[in-house]
Amino acid sequence: MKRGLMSWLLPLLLIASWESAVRLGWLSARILPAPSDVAIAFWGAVRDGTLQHHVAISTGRALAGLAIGGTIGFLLGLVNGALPLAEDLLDSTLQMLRNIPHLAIIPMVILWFGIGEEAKIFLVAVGVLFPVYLHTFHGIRSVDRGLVEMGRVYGLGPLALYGRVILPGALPSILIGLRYALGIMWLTLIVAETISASSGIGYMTMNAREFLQTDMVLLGILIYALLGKLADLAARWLERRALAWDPHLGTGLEAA
Amino acid sequence: MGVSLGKPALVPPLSPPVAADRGELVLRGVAKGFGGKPVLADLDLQIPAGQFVAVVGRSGGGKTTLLRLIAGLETPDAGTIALDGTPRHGLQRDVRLMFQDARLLPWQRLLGNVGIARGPDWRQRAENLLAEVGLAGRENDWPYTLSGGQRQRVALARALVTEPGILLLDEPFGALDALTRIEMHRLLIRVWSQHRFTALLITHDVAEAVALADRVLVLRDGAVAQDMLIEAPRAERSLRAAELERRILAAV
Repeated sequence: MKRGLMSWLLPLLLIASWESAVRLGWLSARILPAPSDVAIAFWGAVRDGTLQHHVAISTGRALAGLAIGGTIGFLLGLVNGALPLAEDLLDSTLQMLRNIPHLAIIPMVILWFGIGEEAKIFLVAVGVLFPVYLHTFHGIRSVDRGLVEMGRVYGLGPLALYGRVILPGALPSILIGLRYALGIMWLTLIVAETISASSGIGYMTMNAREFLQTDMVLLGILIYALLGKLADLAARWLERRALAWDPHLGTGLEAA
Repeated sequence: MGVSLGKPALVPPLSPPVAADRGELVLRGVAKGFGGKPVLADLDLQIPAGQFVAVVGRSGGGKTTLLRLIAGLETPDAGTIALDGTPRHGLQRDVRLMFQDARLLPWQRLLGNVGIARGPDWRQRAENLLAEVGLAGRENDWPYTLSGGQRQRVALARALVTEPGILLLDEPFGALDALTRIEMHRLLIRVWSQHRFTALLITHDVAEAVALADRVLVLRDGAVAQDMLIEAPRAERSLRAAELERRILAAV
């Protein structure tokens, strides 16, 4: 209890000195607005509904990209993990494509899709595809051979073997891939929305910059941080539920 | 073949209350090699239904290969393996294998592990088997909560839940401590006498072979070097164990 309070001491002290530095005029509000101003901006944006509107749009884009890219990556990992022929055919190509930073293709994406929704969803999908693919593939490949052999001896057909042995065995690795993907998902969206958008948190932030509303800019940054943290919490929650059989995760001990 | 060591039994041997009607195993001219090196050569073996056979021998003598051939995990280069009079290939529902390690699925609770093959009313059958191996009430526990001996109990329940005719045991007690191993021996003999399957146990431990089996096979250089029936009731074996072990060790 006491130690829990101690860890809040430094952040509170920082915020307090930041607030007083702005109030006393040592720090221009144009460079860094006071925390209270950000809080007021937050309240205003919530009251007129703009914040909810932009957060909903950004979240929708992020999840759509994750669903598309994640599904493709998962299916590719599944097929390549199961069929050596598919691995020979696809894996080296995917490994080559993986080395292209997905943000580098933004100019091409704008040429293909313009600056509409498709462009942002496409970028997110490309970004999340590779971590999900790699970790699914690796997870399936590293399932204990002894357990697979046991499954065969005990009469499991291919479907049951996948459902009861191979996929659950690959799940820890797949979930790690998902966590990486969630990080990449927000990062990609921030870049994409900052470059071109007419809605979303990135738009809200860039729009505020044009009017020198630094409090709104800072608010946008904080919202991104919050959404990233929420996504990570959701992934950890999923991990603890899905991996309850793992004594290192299931008992609530945090994995590194 | 068939050295009889039984004296006239006063206590009836722990023998079939009902004669086993399936699980007869016949190998004819079975050969298997790996990378040009023969492991088993021209092996003939006949195991009547319900017999408990122990296979002993040095590492590399072909014990595990024999087991994997019967399990259907390997295909013989030559010869036939017949189960209840029918030659067979590949994995069979009627043959189950217990491994050195229990190989439980960590992500299935005990009930799901025992009932891994599912099938009609698998829950009830799995629950009964868990109770039979002394783990009643643990159906919803995760495997990581078990000790090594308990894990092998679950593996035994899983092997028996489909009532196989043949149970193959690949040194399943090798990693257990001495006391737990004795408990597992008692359990195995108990379930064997109730379920009447044919048991084929691979072991390094000659004392274990003498304590459990009706018949001990010594496998050396891919051939049967000694084939010995033990007719003394299990309860009386400790008296004669030293003599039996000496004879088996001489053949290894």
